[in-house]
Amino acid sequence: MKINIYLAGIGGQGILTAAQVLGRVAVDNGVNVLVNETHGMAQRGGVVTCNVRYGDVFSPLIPEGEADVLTAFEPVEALRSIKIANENTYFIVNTARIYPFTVSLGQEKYPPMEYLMEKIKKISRRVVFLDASELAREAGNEICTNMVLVGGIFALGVLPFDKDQFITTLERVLPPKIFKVNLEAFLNGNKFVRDEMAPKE
Amino acid sequence: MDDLISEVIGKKILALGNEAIARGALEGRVDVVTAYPGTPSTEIGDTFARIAQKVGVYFEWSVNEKVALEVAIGAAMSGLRCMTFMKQVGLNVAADALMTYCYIGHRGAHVIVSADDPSCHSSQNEQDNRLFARFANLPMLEPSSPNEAKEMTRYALDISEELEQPVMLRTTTRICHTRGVLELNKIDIREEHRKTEFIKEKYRFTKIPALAWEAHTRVLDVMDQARRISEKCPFTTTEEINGIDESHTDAHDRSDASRDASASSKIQDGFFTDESADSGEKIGIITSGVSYGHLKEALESLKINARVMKIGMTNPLPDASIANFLKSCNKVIMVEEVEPYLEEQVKIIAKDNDLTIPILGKADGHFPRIFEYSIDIVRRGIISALGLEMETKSDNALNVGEMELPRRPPTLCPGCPHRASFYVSRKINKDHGIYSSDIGCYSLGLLPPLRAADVWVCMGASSGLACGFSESTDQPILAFVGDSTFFHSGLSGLINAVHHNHRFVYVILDNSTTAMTGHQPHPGIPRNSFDEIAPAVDIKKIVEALGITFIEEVNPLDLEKTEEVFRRAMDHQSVSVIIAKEPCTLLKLREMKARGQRVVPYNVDLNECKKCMKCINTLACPAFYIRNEDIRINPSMCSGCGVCAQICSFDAISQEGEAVL
Ligand code: SF4
Ligand code: SF4
Repeated sequence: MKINIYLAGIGGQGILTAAQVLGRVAVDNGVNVLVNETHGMAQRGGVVTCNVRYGDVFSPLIPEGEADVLTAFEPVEALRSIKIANENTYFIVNTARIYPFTVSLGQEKYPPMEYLMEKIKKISRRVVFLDASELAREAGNEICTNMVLVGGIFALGVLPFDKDQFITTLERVLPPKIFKVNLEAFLNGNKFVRDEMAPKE
Repeated sequence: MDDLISEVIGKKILALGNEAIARGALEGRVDVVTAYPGTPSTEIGDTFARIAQKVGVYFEWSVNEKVALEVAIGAAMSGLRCMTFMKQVGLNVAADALMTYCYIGHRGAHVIVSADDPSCHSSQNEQDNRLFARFANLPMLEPSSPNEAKEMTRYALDISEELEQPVMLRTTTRICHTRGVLELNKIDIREEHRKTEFIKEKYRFTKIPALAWEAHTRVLDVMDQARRISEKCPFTTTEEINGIDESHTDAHDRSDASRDASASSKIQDGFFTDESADSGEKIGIITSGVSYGHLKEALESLKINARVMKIGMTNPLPDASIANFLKSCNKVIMVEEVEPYLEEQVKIIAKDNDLTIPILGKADGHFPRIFEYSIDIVRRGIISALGLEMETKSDNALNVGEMELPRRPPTLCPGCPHRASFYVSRKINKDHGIYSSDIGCYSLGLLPPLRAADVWVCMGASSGLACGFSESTDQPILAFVGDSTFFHSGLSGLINAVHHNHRFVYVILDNSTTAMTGHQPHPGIPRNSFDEIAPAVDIKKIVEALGITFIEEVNPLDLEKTEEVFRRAMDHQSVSVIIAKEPCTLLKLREMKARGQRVVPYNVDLNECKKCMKCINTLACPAFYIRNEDIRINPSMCSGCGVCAQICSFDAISQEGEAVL
């Protein structure tokens, strides 16, 4: 068994935390896992990517074209990491945009949403776009955008654990004070993606 | 309870490679840990800053890597078990101590962690410190996974004790920053860190020139002994990898099935057919470190059978084991990142054993000598080395056509005081000035529109370089240095400038922290590695003591005052020092939050704004954005520094937004 989950986004979006919990649920359930993180320059508004790999894996990095799931915390980042995907890859894409400062300052153009969505849909049929940041706000705090997206991954049925196993882990790793809102966010994302996938599969 | 100090033996935890090294040191009963922060090694120290006091270990963030090494050398000479860690370029700083230390050794145990950074994720070069290990006669281990990093750290301490010689643990970014499953062994939790007595022994650690040759003889003997250890090293393994065996394929691979099928048929058309296997084609592969993981999966996907030797102890090499391995193969492929370190030595071993089998690697261009490796790169290298006619998977990668995506370069945070210092420097000196920069967040001053970094070389170099510019040009010269970097190694260049009367403006960007690596303390602030009160060393007093005649302290967020100070400094006839003092914005925001205070963001009055773009074109704070030609400030990003408001020629920017947390 080999399962490859790729996370891409921007420093400050909680990607490392998402990756850590995705790793922790594996350890809690006796599944081998490797989680690679980007540190360093990432804190200053740069791109952050994480590779989460389950099962018979030895390399910390997912080979090109072999992600089972590409979770983009920001739409442009889905396309930037497109080489990791193939036509069967599940895409979970947060539609909330974060403009690089080069764009906000008018030095570069941010592609229109339609263009981004088109491109991604051309690659894979298994695509869910969601406003994860909005779903997180509904859960109680935009900071939990990461858990909305993790909830989405759990709706795809590709992981060797179920939702309840994840919730047990989440409760173990998060301080009680913030567990509730994170759980809420996780469930929001999970439901949204499940509903989206239902008619197509 | 912190898993990293759990006493439950056999417990499985998820931990970062760097945390694994910290745990391994604990399992190896480490007493003293020293370091200077540097990516990708920093989290080892962040871990010790958190746990050292709970387990009775002495830890310090030292002033620089050389001192960090020396502190641990002192402790190891006293008989304690020590660890010093640093990023790859840190070893250059520590090298002077290291070279002679390796001659004389110690009486305790000492592992030196060198965290190398192939692909330069956060470094100015990708030097391969395995060459240092050879140069210095430093026994070396290379982990291939986080758990192995833990086990090797413990093992390194043990063989260091046996050899009375420091041992290097050479990791790379992808080991340091990968989380894996660790299985815990025993640790001793102590009340306080261990102390011992330094035992005097005539000439043991004082190698006067007349005795230095003796020490050289000693280290050569030590390395002979180390070679015997290397031959038996439990981390060096040989295994048959049966890529052709289909048994590993499972349900999940189905999505890739079509592609895999086409790949394997192509292999059969190419070099590695079943017949050639029967005819006794035996492919050997020698590897070390993180490349081992890439290699295993590459072989599996290429469906190639090979015999793989993973070398765990890579200095000194287990010559006899390698020779035996070579004898069992018809051709050998070398898979290692960066320098052909193993490749060149393996070729010598082959020659010494009269073996003429092809040894394929970097020399003949099959594998790159730059960048870190991945499964894809290793796959391509093997295909090239074996002359297979097949496409690599990545060549099949999705054809998405041309895409113009906006880049996302890192930048100084909104409200970063460095931005203000750079703004003023450029306003005065424009492109005529030479901006000698250094290593830290402020290296990002390179980017437009600030463009306040023409050169940077290594930690502390901005002052020395400025001395050179001052003798080679008559342009105005500004040298920038962070507070932590000033203490690390900026001071010597400044002393040199005073004595030789070089003329430039030395701007010490004092933001009260080591920001780039995640806000570690340094000697200039009144807190130690555990956030306890500690004596602070006053930068201003140091500079005054040098006899410098122009020293001004200014808050860079006050542009008018800052400009006035900079102008006077530029006119000064000898070296001048400006201390631009204002805490890192991230720290400031964190403290405000802790006190329950809120930021009141700035706001652009669209009626007053003339869209002259001055703020955008000269300051470029990332909190700004443009929508429908209107210039606006994102209130959730603005830190309220007020610099933009001081720049605006039309008073269109003011602090009247609502407070946000
Ligand atoms: S972390 Fe601090 S020093 Fe670094 S860019 Fe941000 S505000 Fe500036
Ligand atoms: S006050 Fe202006 S320069 Fe400072 S952080 Fe806010 S928008 Fe940026």
